[in-house]
Amino acid sequence: MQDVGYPVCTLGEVKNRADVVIYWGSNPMHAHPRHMSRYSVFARGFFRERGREDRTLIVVDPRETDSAKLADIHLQVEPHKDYELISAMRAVLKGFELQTDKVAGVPADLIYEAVEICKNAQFGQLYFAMGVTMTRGKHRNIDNAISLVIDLNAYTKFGLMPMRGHYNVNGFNQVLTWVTGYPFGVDFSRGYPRYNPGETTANDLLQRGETDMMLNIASDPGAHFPQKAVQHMAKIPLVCIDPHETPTTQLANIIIPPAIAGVEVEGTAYRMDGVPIQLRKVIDPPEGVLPDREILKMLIKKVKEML
Amino acid sequence: MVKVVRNVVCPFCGTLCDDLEILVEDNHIVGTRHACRIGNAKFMHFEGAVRYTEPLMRENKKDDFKKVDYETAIEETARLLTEAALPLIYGWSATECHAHMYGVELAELVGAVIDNTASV
Repeated sequence: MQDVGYPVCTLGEVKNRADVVIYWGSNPMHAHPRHMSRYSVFARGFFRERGREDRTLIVVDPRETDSAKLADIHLQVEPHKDYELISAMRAVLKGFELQTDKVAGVPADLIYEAVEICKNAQFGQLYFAMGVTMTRGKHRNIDNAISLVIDLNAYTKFGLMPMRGHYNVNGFNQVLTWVTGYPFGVDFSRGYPRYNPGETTANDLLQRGETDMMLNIASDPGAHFPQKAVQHMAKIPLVCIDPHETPTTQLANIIIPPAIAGVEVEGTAYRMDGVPIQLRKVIDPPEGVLPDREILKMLIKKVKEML
Repeated sequence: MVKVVRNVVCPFCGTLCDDLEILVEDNHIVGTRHACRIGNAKFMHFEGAVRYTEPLMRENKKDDFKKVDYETAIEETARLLTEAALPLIYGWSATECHAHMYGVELAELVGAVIDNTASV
């Protein structure tokens, strides 16, 4: 992502302006159930008064998901061939003719049609998710998708946004970038921040067995990481700061329960478009249970005493 | 009596819907309005979910957990962090930004790798 930049806008802009919306490798009907109705497809916006009728929806997904069923155009790409399809779309956009009937399982006619729709959009928006980043090519798929969006900006206004799974993925990236200059995967072992995805990222460190202790907080890698990574987690000392029992806490040596942010404590979270929103406290936490930040403060104090 | 808390932000997905209404009775959440199915589940204590209310510790991963106080659990965690050659501090995506800030400070102190779910 750092290689090509990243054209962004807010969800409000999409709601008010977008007449073409693409979901690539994401299924918002299940993973982000109110995304389409609040911000992108069904929402009535300032320049899109009729909501859904004023917008064209394109879904790229190998499966016929519930989101794909709602689409005007469903590009049913073959698994792991996203990069090919993006490249084909870029080629068509640049005026080249496709030399085959199908690219990545998608009929050439449909690709021409989709590109034409994107090119003629007044304001387009591409949402992408794990379906693109987790298939063959990984972050290179995103580089290519960003390049497609850049190419489209020669004709019209087009934006791009990752569909964030957890509610504050973006918040952590914002904080870490603010402090170290890098969004994730920062290695402090040399005393200064170093960033090299693939080398300094959690999954890779675990799979190669390079880390000898893990502190897990507010996520569940035990359920989501590849088996080889989880096997290493099971071998090393593991501390979990998590309110609930998860597959990860079952591998832990120490479990420290925090109050649930956004339910039992207030705080700040960044929406997927980078808008910070104040979380509210709705009920009191169970007696004696501390917020994440208090637990970390105590940890910092203890670590300072030991160093 | 059921109290309605308005304009609650949903701490589940990155859409961060901010128009939820949460019904509270005696410090218990009894219902939600405007939330989607997943958001509703986050607020309601659903059956089968085990909530921890005290820190737990065990030497060996095959043993059963023993209840300890925060002091003990945090001291032991601090020891593990400082003694490790390359600790990994991972997660962060389901908590708020002040916790992140202290997390980065902690990572710098112990020379750790810090990462979140965006890297997967």
